[in-house]
Amino acid sequence: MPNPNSAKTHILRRQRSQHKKSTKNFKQRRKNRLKHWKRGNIFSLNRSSRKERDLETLNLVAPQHFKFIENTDSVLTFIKTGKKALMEGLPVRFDISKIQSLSPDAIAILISHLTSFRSYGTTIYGNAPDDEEMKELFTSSGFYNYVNSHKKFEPSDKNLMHKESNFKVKPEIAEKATMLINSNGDYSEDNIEAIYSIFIEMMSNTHHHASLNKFGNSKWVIYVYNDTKNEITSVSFLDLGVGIFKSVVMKNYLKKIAIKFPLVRNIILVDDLLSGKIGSRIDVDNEIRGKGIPQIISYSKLPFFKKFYLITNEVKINLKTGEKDELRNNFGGTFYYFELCSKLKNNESNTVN
Amino acid sequence: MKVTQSIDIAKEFSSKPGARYKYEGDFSGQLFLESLLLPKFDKAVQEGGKVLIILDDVLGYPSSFISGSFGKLSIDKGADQVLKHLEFESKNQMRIDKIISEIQNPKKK
Repeated sequence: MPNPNSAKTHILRRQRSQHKKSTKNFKQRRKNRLKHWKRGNIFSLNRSSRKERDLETLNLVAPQHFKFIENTDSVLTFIKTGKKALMEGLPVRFDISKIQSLSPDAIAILISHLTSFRSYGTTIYGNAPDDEEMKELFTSSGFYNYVNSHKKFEPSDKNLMHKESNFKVKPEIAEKATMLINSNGDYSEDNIEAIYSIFIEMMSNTHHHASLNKFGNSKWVIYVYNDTKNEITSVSFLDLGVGIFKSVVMKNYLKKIAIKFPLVRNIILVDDLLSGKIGSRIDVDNEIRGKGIPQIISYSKLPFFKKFYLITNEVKINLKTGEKDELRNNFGGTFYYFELCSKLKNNESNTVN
Repeated sequence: MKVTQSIDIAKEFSSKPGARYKYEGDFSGQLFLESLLLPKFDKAVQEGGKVLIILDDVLGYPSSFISGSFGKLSIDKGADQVLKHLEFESKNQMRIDKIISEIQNPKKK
């Protein structure tokens, strides 16, 4: 026999709900939600808590030139400012709607940081660029697979964005990325070997070195972008660990002391890094380790890589020329970026030294 | 010395070799060494023969993979012994040179 009290409770609740929906405030909020939903490019991460609804969302405007390699410090400042606010419990909108230029490396940096900020439990909002061309680049990247959005954007099949959550080396992802790059280019077997090997070494380095406390504790992100119009393929690979200079072993005793009491800036260690003098901190099989980064550096010199950069800690290195820049901000992690030209010129060779 | 054993890496192991150790992920150098290379090498040594290693139809050989398999074998058995009982076949001479170089000098400079 139905409980008369539960029926009464249900009716009362229903009446309250219907009354709420008839108020002016509710109707206005529903109208706003629909407006944002129709615009379709708004995303969010984390649910907002009751406490947060009382706080005003910080609208953080991205640098006009939203390009990580070309405008490193500005992009890092943008991300760090957002991180600080989120850590303090303030919801943040990462506003890239008004940017004037956008590059694929910035998209990779943004998604890796935003998903790592989830752990703060504070709501994160964002949007896409207003400019149609940049919006297309952004929405077809695969970015929206990692955030909540009312509208779903299918990533282009010419691109690959993968975030590794199991902290492993994934030969199948390296293969997928390599084949995708090859589909947009005219590469020899040696070129393909170099590209594939680079991916495996990068994944392995993240597994072993990105965390000081434990192996396999850091995630990596890879983003392959095929720009068919300009015949360029760009690849971003990064982890948000501790950075190369914080995780390696100095062979030179004096340098060890200098690093411990920060008398020496990491930038002066770049030459040691490029010449393979920096060793692995892992004791097991130490004698056969430490070949990954030298291998990457060696491959970076091949002519079919048009650009090859490494950003780690406070240093940005052009691996093709050896030029180094000191950053104002510390990038806690390791970021590799390279570009390949789809069509090789006839006189370009691909010999590895 | 006759070839008494053979390994076609693409067909018997993988066309996409991984990193150095099994704990890192699939198709590691360590797995290749333990499951294929070492058993066949030991058998070839017993028979007084060689192992033919076919390197083709593989995407690439990361240095970690080579180090974890051929490099480790060289450290355990000695470079001369390994080079005496291994033979390589590939359309890509650079691959062969890379592996032989690792066997000859498996430790860092």
